[in-house]
Amino acid sequence: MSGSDRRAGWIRRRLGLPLLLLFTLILVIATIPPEFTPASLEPVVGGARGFLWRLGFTAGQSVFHGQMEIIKHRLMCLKVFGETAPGSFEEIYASYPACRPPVIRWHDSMLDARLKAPTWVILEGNPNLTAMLRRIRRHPDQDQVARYFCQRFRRRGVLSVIGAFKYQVRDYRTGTVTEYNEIIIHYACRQRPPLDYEVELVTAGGDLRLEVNR
Amino acid sequence: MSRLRGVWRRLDRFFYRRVPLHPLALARIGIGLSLFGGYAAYAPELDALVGKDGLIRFLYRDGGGPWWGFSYLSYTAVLIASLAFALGYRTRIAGIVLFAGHEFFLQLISHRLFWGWGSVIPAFVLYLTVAPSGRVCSLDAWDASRKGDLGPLWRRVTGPGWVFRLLQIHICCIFVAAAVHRLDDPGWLRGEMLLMALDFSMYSRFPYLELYDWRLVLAVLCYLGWLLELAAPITLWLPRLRVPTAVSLLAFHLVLELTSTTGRWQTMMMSVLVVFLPPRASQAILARLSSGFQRAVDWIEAITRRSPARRRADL
Repeated sequence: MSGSDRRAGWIRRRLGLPLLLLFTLILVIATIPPEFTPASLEPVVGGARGFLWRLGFTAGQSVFHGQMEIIKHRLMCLKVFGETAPGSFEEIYASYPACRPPVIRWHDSMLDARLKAPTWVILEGNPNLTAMLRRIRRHPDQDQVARYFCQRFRRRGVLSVIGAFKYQVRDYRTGTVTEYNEIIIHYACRQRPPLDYEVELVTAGGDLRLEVNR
Repeated sequence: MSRLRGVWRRLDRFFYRRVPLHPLALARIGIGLSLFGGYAAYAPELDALVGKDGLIRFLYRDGGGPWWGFSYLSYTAVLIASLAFALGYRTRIAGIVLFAGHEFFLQLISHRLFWGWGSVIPAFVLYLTVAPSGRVCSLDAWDASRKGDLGPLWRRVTGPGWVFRLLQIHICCIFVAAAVHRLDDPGWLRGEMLLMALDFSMYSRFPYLELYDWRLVLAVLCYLGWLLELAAPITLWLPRLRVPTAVSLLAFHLVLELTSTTGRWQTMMMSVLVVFLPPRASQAILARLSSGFQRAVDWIEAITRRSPARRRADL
């Protein structure tokens, strides 16, 4: 064995192997779920996670967890209308054409998922739909979603945006499915005189439309 | 003391024994294509998500920031580098660009667009970049053989085992992280999660499918899948159970890919799980890929040889 081989072997055993074992240990510690982390070990687990995070990745993800609910929303469609002239609305966004999800979803639109994210509070398992809707409407992200549409369609002179969604709710206790249509966003993009009309959400052939009553 | 030395020697063998590069090459192709597919899927809505007036900037205070102008640059870099990584073209450089571009994009979007897989995949890119995975079934290897430059480096189809082992350990950690927390989750304990996933707008690939009446069957499948994930970190190391576990996990992720839309989680996991299969399985798949590639090259060469420009040049 040559001198360089011996040196390489020494480095491998004395330096490489301890480093590999240390990294393995960090990986394993970082996977301990928060639910099972003893309080005394929290700084160690946090440190391991932070180290990997600084390297640019995680050891794993506790996927598909959390809020277990007795209801679940299905076939959710979000539709956003922009008011281009006082009392005149046009569709500026829809999750699916005519609010009809395809039979097979080949691709998950991340834009749609993020726009609907505030409605995920539904997942928190509140069987009281009125309270649930109140929470969705008050969710701080709804204003940000509205501001996004105001900014994105500013060239069309959008005065205000209205966001509505259609969805089914499955009650797992009974298996029943109920369909709902709700306005969840009503946001003025700029200062404007008081409204002299009311809007009403109507469904036609499964699609969502706004009707303006003066 | 001698026992400790024995353990140390065994650990040394475990980490440093040379391993065939074929599983790593197959994982490289899968990871490269997963990232390419994952990013390409965002193309139609890229501007709406990360453009100047993109949603990310409105929803997340830490999203984009002054760096939004670089989002297209990092996006394009990842697209090109992921394809080069999969094809094994300048594999190490492609891997470094892919890792850096993906990390930069993750920061821009505050880790919000990937259903979690985006934060795990950089580790695999890193392992496969450090390992000489581009030495097998790659454009680099093909180029070297075409030039008759098959030196000892390109003839060697084994590589250092430590990256291979880290990859295997990391896969097990993913299963630990995914499965153990469910022991404290009422939905999983009741076996309801599969029904909920397939019945839920956000994940279901078949939104109109009515599965409520099948809830008992789905509960059994839910427990089986969970058990498989719980046991995997152990059974994947037992010689007799390694291949059945790896094959079951591959089938499990394939079924999830066919029934749900969770970004590139499933293709990512399928790509790396091949490191638990016998190397000859990867070798056989790569042989098929290589022969397909060679046929494509022959076909292109035949066409270019027949082209009028080429004929004129020949004359």
